[in-house]
Amino acid sequence: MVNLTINEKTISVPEGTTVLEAAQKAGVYIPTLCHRPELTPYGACRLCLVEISRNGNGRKTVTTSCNMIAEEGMSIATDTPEVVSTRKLMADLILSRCPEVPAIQRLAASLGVDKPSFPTDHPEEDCILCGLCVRACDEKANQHLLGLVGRAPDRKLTTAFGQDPGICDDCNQCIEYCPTGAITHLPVPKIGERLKAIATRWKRARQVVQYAALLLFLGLIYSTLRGELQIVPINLFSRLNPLQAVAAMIGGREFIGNYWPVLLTIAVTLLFGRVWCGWFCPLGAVLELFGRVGRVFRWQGFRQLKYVILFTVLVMAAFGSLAYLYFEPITIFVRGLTAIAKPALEYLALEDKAEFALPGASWWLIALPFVLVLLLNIVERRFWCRYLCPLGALVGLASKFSWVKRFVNQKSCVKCGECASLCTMGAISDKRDFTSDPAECIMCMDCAAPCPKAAITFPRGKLVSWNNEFDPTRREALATLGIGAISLGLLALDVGKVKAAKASVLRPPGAQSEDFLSKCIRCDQCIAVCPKKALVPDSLDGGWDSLWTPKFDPFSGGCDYECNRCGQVCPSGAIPPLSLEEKRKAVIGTAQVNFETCVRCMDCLQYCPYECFEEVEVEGLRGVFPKVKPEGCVGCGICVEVCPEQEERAIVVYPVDSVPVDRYITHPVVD
Amino acid sequence: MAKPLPTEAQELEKRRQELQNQPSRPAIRICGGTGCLALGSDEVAAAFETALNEQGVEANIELKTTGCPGFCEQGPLLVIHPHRILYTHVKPKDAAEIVAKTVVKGEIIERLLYEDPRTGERIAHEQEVPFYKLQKRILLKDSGVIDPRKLEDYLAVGGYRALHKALFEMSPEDIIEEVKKSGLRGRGGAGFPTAVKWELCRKSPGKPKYIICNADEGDPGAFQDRGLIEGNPHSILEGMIIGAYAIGAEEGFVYIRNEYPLAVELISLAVKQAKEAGLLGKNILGSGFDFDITIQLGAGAFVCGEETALMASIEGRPGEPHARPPYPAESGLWGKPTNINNTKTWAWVPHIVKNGGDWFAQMGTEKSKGTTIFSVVGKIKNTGLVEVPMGISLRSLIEDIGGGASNGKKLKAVQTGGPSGGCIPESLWHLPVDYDSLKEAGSMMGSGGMIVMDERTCMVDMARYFLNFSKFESCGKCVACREGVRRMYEILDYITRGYGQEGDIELLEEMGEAIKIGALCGLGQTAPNPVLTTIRYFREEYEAHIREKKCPAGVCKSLITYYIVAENCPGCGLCARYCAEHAITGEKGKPYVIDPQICGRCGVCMDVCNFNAVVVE
Ligand SMILES: Cc1cc2nc3c(=O)[nH]c(=O)nc-3n(C[C@H](O)[C@H](O)[C@H](O)COP(=O)(O)O)c2cc1C
Repeated sequence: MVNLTINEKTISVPEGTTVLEAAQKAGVYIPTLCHRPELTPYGACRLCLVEISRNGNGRKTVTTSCNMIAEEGMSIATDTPEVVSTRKLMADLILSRCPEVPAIQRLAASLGVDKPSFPTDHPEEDCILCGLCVRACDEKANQHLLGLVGRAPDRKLTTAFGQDPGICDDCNQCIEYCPTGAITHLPVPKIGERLKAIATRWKRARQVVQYAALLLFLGLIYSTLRGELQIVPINLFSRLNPLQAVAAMIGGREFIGNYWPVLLTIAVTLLFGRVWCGWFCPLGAVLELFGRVGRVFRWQGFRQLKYVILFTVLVMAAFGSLAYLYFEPITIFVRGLTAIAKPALEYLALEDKAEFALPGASWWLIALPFVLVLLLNIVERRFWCRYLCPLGALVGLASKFSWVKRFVNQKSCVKCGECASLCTMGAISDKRDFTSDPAECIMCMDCAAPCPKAAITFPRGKLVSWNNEFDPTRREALATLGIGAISLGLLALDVGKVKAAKASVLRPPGAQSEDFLSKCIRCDQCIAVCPKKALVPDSLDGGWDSLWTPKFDPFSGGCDYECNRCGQVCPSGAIPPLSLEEKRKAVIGTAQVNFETCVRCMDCLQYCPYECFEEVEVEGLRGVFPKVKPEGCVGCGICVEVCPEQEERAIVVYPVDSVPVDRYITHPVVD
Repeated sequence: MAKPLPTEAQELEKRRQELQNQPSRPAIRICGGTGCLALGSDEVAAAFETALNEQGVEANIELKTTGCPGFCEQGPLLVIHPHRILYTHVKPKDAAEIVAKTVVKGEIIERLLYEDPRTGERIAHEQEVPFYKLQKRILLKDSGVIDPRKLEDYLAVGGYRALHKALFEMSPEDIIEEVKKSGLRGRGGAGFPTAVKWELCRKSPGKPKYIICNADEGDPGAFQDRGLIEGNPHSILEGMIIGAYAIGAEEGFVYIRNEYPLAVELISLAVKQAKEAGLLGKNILGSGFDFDITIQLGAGAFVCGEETALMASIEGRPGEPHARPPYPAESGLWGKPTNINNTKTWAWVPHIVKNGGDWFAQMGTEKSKGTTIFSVVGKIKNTGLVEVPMGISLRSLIEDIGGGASNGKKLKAVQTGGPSGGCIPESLWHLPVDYDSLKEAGSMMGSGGMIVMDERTCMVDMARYFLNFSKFESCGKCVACREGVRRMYEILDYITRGYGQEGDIELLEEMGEAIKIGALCGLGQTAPNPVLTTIRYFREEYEAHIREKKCPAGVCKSLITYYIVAENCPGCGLCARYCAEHAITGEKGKPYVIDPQICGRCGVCMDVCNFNAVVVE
């Protein structure tokens, strides 16, 4: 053991201990940069300078502590004015080489240098020639491939003769040690290229999948609008969608087998995290195209809002209302596209363009959420995905338990912030060492390749990752309870006549009006697919709970006798997937002729596919009138459709149990 | 000493006796050192060979090509023994005349004699020339006398006597004791006591031990080591063998830069001869002592003169220094105890062994003993290698031996120690030349380069020049030197280009002090010296550059203009003919004018003008 004093503190350390180690043991801080305990000291950065005086002679010398072996009777001062000012100049000189490197900025700032005093001319000078990589290659990797060559003016890091070291086994230990991250940006040698290439390949793969998914989605919407049901299930994205599935099943209180593809999504999520959002979600693909990346919005804490929305959706579903699926991203996108594309296609198909009539305000309203989502995206890219999306919240929650997670090697990370500034989700936290909440990271892998330290990987992670930046907390639970209670209150008090609406609004063929609102996911694909525009989005007619649900409106069009597509596209079974035969028999309502306004054209009688009209004479009125035979009518509304337009059409389809009592007495016409 | 001498040793002594008993013949000695060689001394030698042959006198006189006698300014040099008639600036065409007159008839050719610039008197004999008269030549005594290619010549002047004495009459401890008594300090610059170093190395555990002769000599303007090797290579080998014996080393290295081709050739030849003569290798002179020397070529990096960098270079690693401790004496070459000394330090060893430590200690000053060799260059008349006792005043060295200013201008300062040294103003030239006073004055002894500057030298520009050197020669390992020196250079460069700012001087001082403390090795620790000393002694020049944007010495091109004073200009047109830029126009007989727009500020007009009509401001 040798005894020495450090800043007047006496300490005894084993022989061969360096002064730096001794100081650390004594709890005295000495700044370092080119030193790592496991590597041979090098003494290049000159930041660990201390003043040493030895026993006996009063001579004081200033030397580096990293490579000075402690001797008996040494006395060390770590912060004499001389030492401090010299260190400061060294820090200034280093910072002047690489003024943009945050790790160096912080170190320099801690030594009193806030701004570099000297101009910088080369970006290559981010390499501060500390030799850590060389020593890592020599001592850790045992490869001896790297070296610093050239004297001061053109000193640089290189491999033998500047050639790509064929024998380098890509252990990349050198990268881990680089304090500035310059090592992967040097023109020669090309270090970490293979890592970058792999990371870039993954990113490309993701982009390919993502855009393919978007194209598929658009194609499916197109064919839905065209009414062509093809091999790929038209409602694929709904059926893969766990939020819709869970909500619909809870709401409908039944198992909906149609949603079996959700199992795929769950499996993928549990394996790879929130890849749904980064790789598959078509809305995400669109939102990724513009807006500011990184974190811009001040109140990042609002990210937890999406959990509130998610929980509210589920709680409301439990109480039988799927109204909050307004916030479901796939339905938002479908509605948005339908609102625009359906009239557009119709317009294009028309021969006489003058016949085209723009739909009314209630039609356009279904695109409102989509427009809002796009507008919010201007604030921050993927604003929707970050703060609001309940589906994202759901897969995000699952991602906390995923097998693979984004990982930042803290030993390597130099806190340059490059990843955070690129993150489309703003998931990367500068306050948490550039890690990310697995529920926020969508595994897009954009951050991996640009990381100068190749510190970002996507390995098998901890299976349960809690205590992340934006975990849902009690606050979110309380907010959910609050909103849920208010919503249920509104329902219970029947604000907006929800109860009546359930009965008064005609629903698509086969739909049961009693539980329709707890099964319909408001995706409006039925509306998109309906060839006759017989289905229209409900506005507030059926109460707020019924907003954007499909409403059968025979004034707009009758239910095509040859069509059963609405049931085919409905993912949740709110409209059952009836065969054509079954659909033809499904009762929507019952038609009734108003003899006072009937013009007796008899078109209804002629067109009714069910032949359920008979000719009658009406007491008190002259002539022969058509009349609906109650046994045959399903309320398909074709008679309404053909009934000549006038102020008040002569035929109305009523819900089966609210057909008004006929005021007239009629007699069948007997030939 | 009762033990009979080994036969090998006896034979060497016999051979020496024979050589010394030969009657001494008249000889023509032509300097074949690098300086004179550059001036064509090899052609002069060839011309003499022909002339002697043609005139049939080749048997009467010996023709010798020797090492550098030091008076480089006057080369090619020729000395005719035994009277030591000195002819300067000898051309091949002079050979026939010299042979005919001086060799055959003993006449002196007045025209070729050295003319004392102060008295105008022509001096016939070497020993009377003030340049030589004031020197105390011990190490250099035989340079210029013996042929460095011949071992016999060295033996004849008593060479390897000291080795004999050391091996057979002294123990290693005796030798170290003797060196200690002499007070010899390292001639490599730092002046560390040699005996202390040797003793440390000797006592240090570990085998084998190595010794190194540091002949890297990287500072600009220094060529003493080269001169010594080119003049008397065996003296260095002898010193090393004795040292190795004293230290207990088995192998030695001479680290010499490849830019010294002649020196490399001669020292390699000397090693070969010594091996053949049994002076190196196994069982030296039958004493049972084994020692061998390898010549290691350096690639000419200044930093490789630094001992730890030098050893890295020998080991085949990049020439970069590392921190001490461990010192070479504990862990040097390949981790073994190693002793490294400067060429001149080694060359002293035979003298000390032969003559005793006390003899050495009586020369020089209290703390700096012996003589030292300087290469004195710059704006003085007699540039060359001089050997003077420690303690001689700078003024005497520069004005008496150096002969004062070469062109009638006022001398203003001297830079000692090369780029690591400092600048000493004329007002301090009373200072004695020794390790400690030079250090006191902010400079250092260095390996002995001395550059004399006159009033036409801009001190800022000078500091910039040396910093530029250090900037390029810094190995780049440590931040202080790599970045710090470069930044100081940038500031100086700005100042000389007229972009200096208030506060720059203070910044330079602050940085200089920090770099001196903070740098890893001697290069960085001393690199700021030229700046710090010029600021210390010539602050007003810096201020003129910064505040008035003027260069008082008229050197910094961005800050000066040349013009012609009409009253003085007779219109000879000489300046216009020399002007490379064609900036000077005029009519014969009328004053000429310089167009400052075109003028390249080279100053040739001023140099050629015979009427002092060209001035610079
Ligand atoms: C930058 C630098 C260059 C040096 N160059 C030389 C040199 O050219 N020759 C030399 O003998 N010593 C040189 N030295 C000094 C050596 O490091 C060492 O001190 C010397 O060789 C020891 O020999 P000495 O004890 O005989 O002086 C240099 C030192 C430094 C820092």
